[in-house]
Amino acid sequence: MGSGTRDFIRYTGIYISIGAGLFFLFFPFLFPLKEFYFYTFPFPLTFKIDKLSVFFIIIISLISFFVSVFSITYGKEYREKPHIFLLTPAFILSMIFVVLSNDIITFLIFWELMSLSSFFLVISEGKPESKKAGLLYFIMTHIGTVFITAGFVLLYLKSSSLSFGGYKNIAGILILGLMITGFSVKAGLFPFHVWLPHAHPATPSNISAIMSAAMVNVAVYGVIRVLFVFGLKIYPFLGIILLVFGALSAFFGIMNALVQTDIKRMLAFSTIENIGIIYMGIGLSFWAYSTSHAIIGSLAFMAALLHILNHSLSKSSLFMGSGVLVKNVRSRNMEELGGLAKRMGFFSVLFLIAVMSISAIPPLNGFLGEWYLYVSLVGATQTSNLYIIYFSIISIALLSLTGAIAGAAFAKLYGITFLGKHRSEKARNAGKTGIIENISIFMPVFLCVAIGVYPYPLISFLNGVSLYLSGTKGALSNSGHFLAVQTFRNFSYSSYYPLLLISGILGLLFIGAILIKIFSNNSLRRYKTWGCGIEEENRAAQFSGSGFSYGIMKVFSTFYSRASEIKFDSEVKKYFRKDTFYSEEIGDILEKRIYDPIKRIIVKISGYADSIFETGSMNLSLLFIFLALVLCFIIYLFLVK
Amino acid sequence: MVRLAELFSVLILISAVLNAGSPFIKFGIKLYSFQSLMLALYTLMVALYSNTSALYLSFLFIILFKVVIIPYFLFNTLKRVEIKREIDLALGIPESVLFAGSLTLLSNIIAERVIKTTVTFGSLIFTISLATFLIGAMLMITRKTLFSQIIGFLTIDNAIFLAGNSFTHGMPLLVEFGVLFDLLAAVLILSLIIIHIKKSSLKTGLRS
Amino acid sequence: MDISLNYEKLLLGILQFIIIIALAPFFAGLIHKLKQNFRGQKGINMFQFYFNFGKLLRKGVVLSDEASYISIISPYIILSVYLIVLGMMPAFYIYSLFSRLSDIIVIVYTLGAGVFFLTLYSLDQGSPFGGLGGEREWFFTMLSEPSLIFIFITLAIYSRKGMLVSIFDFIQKNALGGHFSIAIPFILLISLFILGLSENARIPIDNPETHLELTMIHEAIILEASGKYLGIFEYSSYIKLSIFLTLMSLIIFPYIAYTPIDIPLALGLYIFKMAMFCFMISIVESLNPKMRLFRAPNLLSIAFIISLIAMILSIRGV
Repeated sequence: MGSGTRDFIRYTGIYISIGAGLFFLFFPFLFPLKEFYFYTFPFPLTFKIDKLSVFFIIIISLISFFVSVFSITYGKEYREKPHIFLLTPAFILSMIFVVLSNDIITFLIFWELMSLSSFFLVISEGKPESKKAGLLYFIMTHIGTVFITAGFVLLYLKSSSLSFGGYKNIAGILILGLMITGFSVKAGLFPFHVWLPHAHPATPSNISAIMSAAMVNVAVYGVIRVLFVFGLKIYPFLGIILLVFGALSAFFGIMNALVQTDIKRMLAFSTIENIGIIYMGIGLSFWAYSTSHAIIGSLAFMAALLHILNHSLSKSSLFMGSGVLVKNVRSRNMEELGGLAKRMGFFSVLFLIAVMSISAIPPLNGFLGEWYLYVSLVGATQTSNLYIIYFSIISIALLSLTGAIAGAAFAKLYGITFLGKHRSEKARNAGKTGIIENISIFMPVFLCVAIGVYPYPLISFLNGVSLYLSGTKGALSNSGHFLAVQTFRNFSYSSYYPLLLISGILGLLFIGAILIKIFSNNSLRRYKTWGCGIEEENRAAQFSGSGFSYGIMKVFSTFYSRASEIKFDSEVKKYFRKDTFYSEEIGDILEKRIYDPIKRIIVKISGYADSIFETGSMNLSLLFIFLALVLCFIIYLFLVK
Repeated sequence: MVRLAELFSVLILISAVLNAGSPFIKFGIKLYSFQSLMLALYTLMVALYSNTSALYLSFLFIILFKVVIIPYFLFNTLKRVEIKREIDLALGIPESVLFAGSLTLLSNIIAERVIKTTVTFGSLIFTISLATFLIGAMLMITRKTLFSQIIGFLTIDNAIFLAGNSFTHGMPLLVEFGVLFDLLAAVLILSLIIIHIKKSSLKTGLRS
Repeated sequence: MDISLNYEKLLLGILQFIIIIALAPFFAGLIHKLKQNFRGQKGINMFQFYFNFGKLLRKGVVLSDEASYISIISPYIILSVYLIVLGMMPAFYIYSLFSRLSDIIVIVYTLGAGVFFLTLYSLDQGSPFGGLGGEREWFFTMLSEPSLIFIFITLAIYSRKGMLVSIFDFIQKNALGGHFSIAIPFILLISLFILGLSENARIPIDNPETHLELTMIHEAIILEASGKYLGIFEYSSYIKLSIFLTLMSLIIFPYIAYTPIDIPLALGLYIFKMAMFCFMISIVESLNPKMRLFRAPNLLSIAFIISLIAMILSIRGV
């Protein structure tokens, strides 16, 4: 293949994905169809549009559009691998069709297509670690698929219908448990998150933007569909379990994100955190609907939906930003960056806004979802159910801790990456950002600001989604240009005026700046940073990224598996060492303590089985397949009766 | 009056939490004295509220024994053995404080389950006394020096006193008197033991 | 509570806002003066911090070579963020200027925005000390954030109101009638006092007076600031102190004016209460040594559990 062909393939793929993104962004408005079919052999593929799928289609196509625009120039990095750009539209379309599909077969086909195409995208860099990450991702995602399929089979047995239309409010606790477990593996919830921090750093940045901001949402879509449409709303404890796991996931994710120095790995952990927050909203909402606290339910649901959107917008822009850094500096390691704010002016401002948005700084959109979540949690403490009171207290504590650590983690990300002195020669020679990259990052960032400042149209749209799913509205007046909610009968309105807040801050900023300008001496002199009077210029003397998280890490040392080592020449005297090497390795404690032992046990068992049965024999293998088939028949007999 | 009683009862719990949060023994004894004072004031409030003369006496006895005499003995012993702070904690300070908080949550659940009717000053007292009891027990388990264990024991005793006073509108005076004297005897014996251990530890190297 | 504004309320709100901004350095100076008196020193003028601010404004700025746009905008952002929170406080007149914004969660997260920019500033000049301060600032913010949220939510649950202004309106109206618990405000006050010490760089946690690199926190962050920027940072820290003191003074005994006639009495009482808290803080600062950094979690965990107890009590509806 010549380079011209490769370029052609690449651009074709990118423009197909841009077109697909744009088409499906306006699809729900252009074709207000309710249901439609494709007659294929042997099953017809059926699709249906409802308000929930519209919401998710808009998110997925929006993110795909941004990222595809970004890929126009960023794609030159992968000039040698044009197949990435052919797989990307397949990936995007399969995600959209998963959300649209209206029967089991269609859903599973596109789910599997989505998993496979994303698997090939994960391993596309071809490095050993990306192959390893891809294998882990493949195994985890198929474990999830097994659970989902089992849940669907049980649903089919219960209703004897393949179409989703027949599943309204019939799923019992077994089905819900199975399917939610399956979707949670894909979403990367706390105990199943191990694949995320490996897959994202190994993937090209534009793909990880889509994976983190769109694919994870498809899994969340599955959870919402199963819980709120298929599920019987009589299991309050299921909601509490989801709430607790969400809170743990948020806490665990951000704790690990804080200590990372690899930007993309850090963003992957931050995805786990945000998924946790979304699950908290979903869980609380399911609890509330199960116990007929409709107002709290719709508020928490609103929080979950808002956070899905906000996380997608800010996370996609951050991943695209990491792509820009990788392209221009050739490093993902924060300790090698630094001082980029002066070299990439506009881009660094965009990155700052995305960072502020994801760490929930008030006038921006990230805060909005968390505000709804807090309000609904406070409302839950006002109910008469003992368990939800205690779990919501614990959740409030964990959520606020998460909020503070998220601030620390993202201040570290921005501060170490963009501020200070350049930390390596690579950072000093960083290239400039292109205009298309800036535009494609600007779009989601602009939406972040716009939603944060003027959320009212979005809120009324989401109210429609909530109304469609549960029959109750979010009990909020958005007429007077403020968000007000009443969480409980005797509870007066809590309200949040984003426009007033931003105009107040900007007004004070303006007045203060003018007053100080008038009354102060405005002379300005540039000089070196104070370095204790030492003239020598040493860029290694500035504060490092791992140092920035050290204090918090020490207090919560039980949550990390950490090993650090200092190496030096042993012959030299203590205070006259020439070279000292400090190495630190911080791992995910769950991976070290649970997943690795399980892996070792499985390897051991399969080794034994290998030595006992000598699977080289063809007959024996056939016998095993035969036995498995018979076993399935027996299980089927018991299940159906 | 009810509001004041509430304040005093809450302060009993808080002094127990503070005790879990400090490794200093002198501070612990002072806190115990403060806690007993709050208990006494609480008893006074109950007495004023229900106008029981036995409770006034009980108030005086608590002041005499728990606020003055027992801390005095403990301080005296402390002077002789010269321990300043708890070394070698089984559970770190923030952990034990968080543990105390979760014990409070737990006891609140239990209290809401157990108490259906309202007692003297609301079912809150049961929560507080149960939580104080559990924190005292936790102190006895996690601390290694005998002093802190004694303080834990005394905290448990205060918790039981609190519960008893609020449920029964004052125990029979004789019983209360007996309990107080038992307590005093226990503290005396324990002080003797501490001094003894300190002396023998000079030879054997044991920690008092 | 009706929070619709008319011109009179707006004017009085602006007046209150300006008065509490103007008073902020006075309270910081008072603490300093009292502390020095406790040590037996003659002490500074109580109004010294005004002169300091004026002097800093007259000085020119020296900006680091490495400084980017963050160094130029963040002082103003921090000042306006703290100002807007201060503007939400109904210090002595109930219709405070930003009373509509005074949702409890918004307050906590807006304060968080200040910390965010403060730490970004600390990393901007590539100084070894700045990052040190920034790291510790987040360390303490993280430890105190749950307690702060719990304190506010306790107040909200107790009074069943979502906005700070209506919370204190409720407390004031019910405090005299005996319908209000004494226990909850009292223990909230203990917790808030500890938080106030930690958030405002006061002695058991941080010592604002020393310039020893290994121990300082807030001073390390603003080590590179000079001239008017240093002045803005100093003033912001006075305002933050004022926010916490005002909250404490409102919790312990709210006396808030509803009509212009009551304002002089309420203002006098406000200054008196604030002075009392300044006195308490100066006592605590004089009697205690600075804590080792990793012992601070002990103190802050106690603050957290105390606010947790208050929350349980408020849910039980004492």
